[in-house]
Amino acid sequence: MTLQSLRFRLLSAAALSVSVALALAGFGLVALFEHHVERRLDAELGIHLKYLVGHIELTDDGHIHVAGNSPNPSFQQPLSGRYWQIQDEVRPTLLRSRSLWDFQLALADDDLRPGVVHRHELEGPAGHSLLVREQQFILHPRTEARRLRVAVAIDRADLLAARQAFTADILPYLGLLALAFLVASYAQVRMGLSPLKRVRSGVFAVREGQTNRLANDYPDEVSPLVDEINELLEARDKAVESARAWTADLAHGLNTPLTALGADARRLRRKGDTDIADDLDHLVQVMRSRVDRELIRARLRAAGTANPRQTPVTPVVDGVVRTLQRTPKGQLLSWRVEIPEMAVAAMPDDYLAELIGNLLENACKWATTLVEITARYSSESVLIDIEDDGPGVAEKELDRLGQRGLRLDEHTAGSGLGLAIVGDICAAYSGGFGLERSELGGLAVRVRLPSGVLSDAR
Amino acid sequence: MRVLIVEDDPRIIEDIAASLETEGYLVDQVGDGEAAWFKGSTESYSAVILDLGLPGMDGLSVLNRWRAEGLEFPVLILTARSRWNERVKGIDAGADDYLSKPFQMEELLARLRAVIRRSAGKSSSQMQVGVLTLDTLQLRISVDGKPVHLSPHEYRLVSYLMLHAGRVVSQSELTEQIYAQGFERDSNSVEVLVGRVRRKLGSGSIQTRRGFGYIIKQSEP
Repeated sequence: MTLQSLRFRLLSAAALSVSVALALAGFGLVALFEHHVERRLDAELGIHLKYLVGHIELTDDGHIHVAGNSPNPSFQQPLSGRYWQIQDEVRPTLLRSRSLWDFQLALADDDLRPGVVHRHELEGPAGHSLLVREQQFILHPRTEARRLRVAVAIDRADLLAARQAFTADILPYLGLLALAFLVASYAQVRMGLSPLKRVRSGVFAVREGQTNRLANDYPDEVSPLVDEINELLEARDKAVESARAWTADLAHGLNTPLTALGADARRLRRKGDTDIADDLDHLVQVMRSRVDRELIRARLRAAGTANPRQTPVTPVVDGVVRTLQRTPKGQLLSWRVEIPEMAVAAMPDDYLAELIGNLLENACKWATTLVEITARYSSESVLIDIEDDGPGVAEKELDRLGQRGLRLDEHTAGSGLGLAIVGDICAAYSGGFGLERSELGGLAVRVRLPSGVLSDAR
Repeated sequence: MRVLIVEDDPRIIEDIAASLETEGYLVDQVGDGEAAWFKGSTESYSAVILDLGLPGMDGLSVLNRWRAEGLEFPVLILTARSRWNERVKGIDAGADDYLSKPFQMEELLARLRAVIRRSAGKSSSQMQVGVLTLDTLQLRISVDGKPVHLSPHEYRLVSYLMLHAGRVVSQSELTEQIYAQGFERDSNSVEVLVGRVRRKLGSGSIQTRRGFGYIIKQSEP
């Protein structure tokens, strides 16, 4: 996965949006929770306040005091975080919970009407921030109308601790959620991009010759691309087909007049012009081989090797042997063919036939009694050996054979271009061939071709 | 022996007909597929030389119809389309041999003799030229049915001349066929070999055409 990859881009975008969404959700949840806790603390302050007010009494000398202790022991423990303070504004008196110790809440000197609740945030003992609920009460309104400023406070540290605990609790869940979202996005991206992967393997199958066209069962968004690829394949097939037809017509158009030229040569011979007739005959044979080779080359160029097809070797060799066994020389020879059924070459059958045909025709021409064709195959290559028991070739000549147009036999039919055609076909399909002395006595041609795999999709 | 030639080029058909008549065959000629099919179906031939690129019905269709009708005369296909898979297709369609244009007349005559001989049911591993018999399975040459002991070089010489019976084979061509290519050899080694073979097979077995080469004469068809 690179920066250019579509999957990378989609996954990055998903990761970014999931992070932003979850961060917002996290902040929102913590804020809501804080608000909720604050309301709860405020309610608690309200309860304390009511309790306190209910227990304010006047002493005999007219001072206020709080009867009994609050049921909440926090008010008795110094700096516990829960405090109260009562201020008598008529007979200046200040009562404080024991928890406040020597600290006095600095209540604002604001206008406080009876019954109205004021909420403050004030500094408490040890510099802690306090949440304060303050209310004015009038004691004995009918006699003395003592105005009391009653305040109850809670340390905000409780709130902060609760918020921290909540944040710590919620973070793993948010992380888990992020992971779930990312996994879901990955699955979504993978599923979304899978048709492209199928297009790729489809194109590969076409290139390997396992199928001709891409199937037409893609989603609407990918379908136009597949249609375009199929049209491109169609156009290429047409070009190859027309090149094939063109070369076939050209073969016919060139070979027929050459045959007529051969007929002219024989007429000359009958009239006694044997030298000219021999020359013409030789030219006809040379031209024929050249035409054969050039037509093969033209077809190879037109077809390219983009669509090599898979061709089992056995039927092609059997067909060529069957054909050569019909010739006068071929029917007198023994043909030994040992090719595993699974040997498949990655090239079209007509080129394999051309390659095998040229080599076996040579072997047939030179063999005394026997032509042997054996093959081995692996996942990479098919090795085909063609040997005969003819006179063979001296070591020093082996390298020269197979070069363009070269032939050592100047008298037997053919101009030596058979091996050149073999070379052209091997080169076009990333194969190769070599010549050796055969143990049978004659020539051994060892051909290596890329191995193909037959698929059921054909 | 009667042979039908199916070919649309008049120069080629005349050339083949002339050569076949010289060899003693009776020749019928037609220039298109329909007429060829009709002739083949109604008359009796020892062999048919059939061009594939014909006007009207193409050669392969004509062959398919003949074979579908149960006609079994040997057919030698002649075509300007020289691709190997077409040759195999022709053989599989029921042709007996396949020759691509342009061809050498000796080659055509040899192929024609071979398909006629094969259709007559003669063993494919043996061939007879005059008094000589070549057995390619046992690697043996017999004169009047009596096997003659030959060395491998001698066997190669006689079998090559027999396979090209009726044609003068030059000394250099024989040298190429008998000895490994590129091997140093004596200029008169073939002459010496021919002399040895003549002593074994009879002095008339191999004839010398001075200045041209050697020949084993073809027996009449």
